[in-house]
Amino acid sequence: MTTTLPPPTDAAAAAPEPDEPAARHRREPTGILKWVTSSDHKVIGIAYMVTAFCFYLVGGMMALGIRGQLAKPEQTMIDNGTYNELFTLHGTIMLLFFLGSFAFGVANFILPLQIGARDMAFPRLNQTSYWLYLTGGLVMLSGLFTTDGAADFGWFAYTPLSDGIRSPGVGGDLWIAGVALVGVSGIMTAVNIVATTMTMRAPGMTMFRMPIFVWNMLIVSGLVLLVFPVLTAAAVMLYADRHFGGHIFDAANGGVPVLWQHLFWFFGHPEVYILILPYFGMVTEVFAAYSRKPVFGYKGFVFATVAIGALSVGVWAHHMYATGVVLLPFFGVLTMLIAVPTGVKFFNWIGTMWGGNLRFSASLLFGIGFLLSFVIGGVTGVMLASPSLDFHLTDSYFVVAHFHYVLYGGGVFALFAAIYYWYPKFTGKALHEGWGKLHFALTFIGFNMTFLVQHQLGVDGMPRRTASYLSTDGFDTLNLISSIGAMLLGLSTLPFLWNVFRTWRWGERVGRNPWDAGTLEWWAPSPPPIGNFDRPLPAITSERPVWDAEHPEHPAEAEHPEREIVPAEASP
Amino acid sequence: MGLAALVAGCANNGLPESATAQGDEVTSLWGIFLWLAVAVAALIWLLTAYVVISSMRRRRRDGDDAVPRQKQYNTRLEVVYTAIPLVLVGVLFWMTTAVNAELDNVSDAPDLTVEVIGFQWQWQFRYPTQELVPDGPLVVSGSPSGPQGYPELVLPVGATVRFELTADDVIHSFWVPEFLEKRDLIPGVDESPSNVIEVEVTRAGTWTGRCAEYCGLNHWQMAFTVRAVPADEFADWVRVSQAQSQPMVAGSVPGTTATTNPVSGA
Ligand code: HEM
Ligand SMILES: [Cu+2]
Ligand SMILES: [Cu+2]
Repeated sequence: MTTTLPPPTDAAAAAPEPDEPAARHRREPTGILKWVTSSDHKVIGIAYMVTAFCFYLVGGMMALGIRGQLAKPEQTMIDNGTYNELFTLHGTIMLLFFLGSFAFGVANFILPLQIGARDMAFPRLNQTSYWLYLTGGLVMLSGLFTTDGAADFGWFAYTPLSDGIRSPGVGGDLWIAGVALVGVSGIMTAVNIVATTMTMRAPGMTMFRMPIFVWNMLIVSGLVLLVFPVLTAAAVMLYADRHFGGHIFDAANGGVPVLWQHLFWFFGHPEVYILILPYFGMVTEVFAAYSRKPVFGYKGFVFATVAIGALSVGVWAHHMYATGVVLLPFFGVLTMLIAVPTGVKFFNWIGTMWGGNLRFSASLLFGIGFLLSFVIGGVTGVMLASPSLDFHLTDSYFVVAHFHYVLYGGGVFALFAAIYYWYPKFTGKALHEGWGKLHFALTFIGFNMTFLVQHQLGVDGMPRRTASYLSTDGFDTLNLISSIGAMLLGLSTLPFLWNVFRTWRWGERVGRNPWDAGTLEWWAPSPPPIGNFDRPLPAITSERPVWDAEHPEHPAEAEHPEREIVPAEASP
Repeated sequence: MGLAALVAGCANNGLPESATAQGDEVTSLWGIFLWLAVAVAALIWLLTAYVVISSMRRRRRDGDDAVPRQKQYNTRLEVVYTAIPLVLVGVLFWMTTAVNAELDNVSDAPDLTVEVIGFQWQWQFRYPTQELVPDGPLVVSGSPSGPQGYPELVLPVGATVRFELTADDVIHSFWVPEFLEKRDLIPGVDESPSNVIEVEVTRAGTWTGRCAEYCGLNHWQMAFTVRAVPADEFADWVRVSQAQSQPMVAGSVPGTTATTNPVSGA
């Protein structure tokens, strides 16, 4: 029932035509030299993903230190100064060096394949971007080895705290340099993604036949181009204030501290959508593939993403309600409006699975975990959007809980769903399902145990970024629960790492399309060779050409089947 | 103890018991937002559970390879699930704007004005009309030994109190959880009218207030005690404190150096 085209033999696949790029790359180096020198989008993609995951492990260890310190009141395991460095680096690493970078890695690998291209538009730029990113991360972390320690002004580095008087250490400068480097790197990757998507689509791959992941990456890249330059500029301004007497943010000399907040959040809020939208895209592919159905409401989904992207640049001051200097109703209403297109996506995802033949793989379990967790981050977001409630909730643990439900419950759950889903394409081998399910169970329990209780802690009066609390504050029980959950969450990484290791050593090879999925990357061999496709692409007439080729008897149903019925009903 | 707190909390849907008229408004708004949020999350959880269970049944019946209906669009449904959230959001926004007007309301002549000055990592509360700086010389720093060392903010029950919030070094934030609101103290913002909030204290009690904006090394220890007392008791306290403390010196906002008090064990 599957194939209409004769499956090409491997012999045919191995013989490249003379003008194939494979011929050019004949003397590609192998081993470590390959990873350092290759400009192949897949090699760079994997380098990005592996590097980002290492940063995740580093940031995760820091989080465990934080939770260890907060497990009990009045602990002195970690002193105030170190604690402040830990949460600053944890936040910055997770946001700028892990979640977004990992998404860029997936995009590097998958996006060209999904649109039937042989590589990214600018392979060398791509390579440069990766090295800037890695350098930026190491530069920032190197602050840990300086005498004054790493940056300790929080991931949003509010002035005047981050100026040269209050934070004189070189760690702060290294932080600024790291942020600027990763900012430039992000701009390069975004340019590359936009160029690739706009110019390198295979014949027949119209915009409305692009997989949702491609759409989301395109919109994310647009946002990056809009706001990363602002971040880089702001970083330069801060540097000027610190070293050249800029006084831009210095109230004592006529500067405006709040200006930093405006600049930072004009980047910072779209940034959270830059982080989450790629994962929306990935998880959408996962739902469709394991339901054996097309994405429900595909076009509505695309419009919703466009709407989120557009609204996201007009809501930055919802981080600044408590400053008392922003127009509350304006930012309140725009922020709440974002809930609408986000809600639409939930119905798209559920609609995609509705009536489907679900295959409960580890990947889909993470996808379902994503739905169940992310919705909590979504509804608490609406609560925070209300200035009247935010005055109580902002800068409390309620916010910590909220954004971890978004970034972890939304981002990291979808990230693991994507890893299990695309692992065969990345490596030619599938991860072990049993270990994957254990990984999921531990993650889901540990995650909710860590962060659910933090909502109540915040409401009770526990501010974020507190290195400790008093036994008389009444925060003990919930903090202990949260810390135990965090240790469980830390442990949950072990079955995953083991899974990767055992699959590398003993995993079985799988074919091109082990999940019977529909998008073009599954047409290529696993893993794809240099140049990607070893046989002519199937006809592209919808957003899932491989499904159409392999299941010609099951096309997506007509767009509006009810149209045929409506006139009959309407005429009396 | 934890359980008692839980039971008490349920009355206000988990919030601390409000101590101000403004806090009462926030409490009722919170109830609406909270239960709507719970309802929406529950809807998504239930729909997901339904999809999972029904699919498990179908899979057992039809087999692993069965291809389900390839339905992709249902315009009417899409319009419905866009329109309903839109309406909900409109209603929520309207309600929040109403409460916000209350919170931002500043009277012409409050019963009491307190200047709240935050600095790394301590608070000072000045009562200009009473010519009072109750805490005297600024040497106290919050210490892990407990709230005894905290500076004290004394307020009369029933009065409308205006807080004028200023800082000279870095940004801090004035938060008494029982007031259910906070506001930042921002250097430079005090040139124009400083950040101001007004509350009407409705009940007596003793609470802990905290700095909510991260402000450097000892941020977590930057707390204070709020003591709301009946009006006559407040008048007594003003008299006694006036006798004790030196008169208020204009413009003597404390610098940071005097107060850096590294914490034992840190
Ligand atoms: C591995 C499990 C994780 C745990 C146990 C954890 C725990 C925490 C805790 C307790 C804080 C609050 C620290 C404080 O305010 O004093 C925090 C802050 C933060 N976390 Fe996580 N986290 C985890 C993963 C993540 C991930 C995956 C992301 C984002 C992708 C993330 C992003 C952040 C950010 C942005 C902050 C704020 C830092 C700041 O206030 O400057 N975390 N985390
Ligand atoms: Cu935001
Ligand atoms: Cu503070």
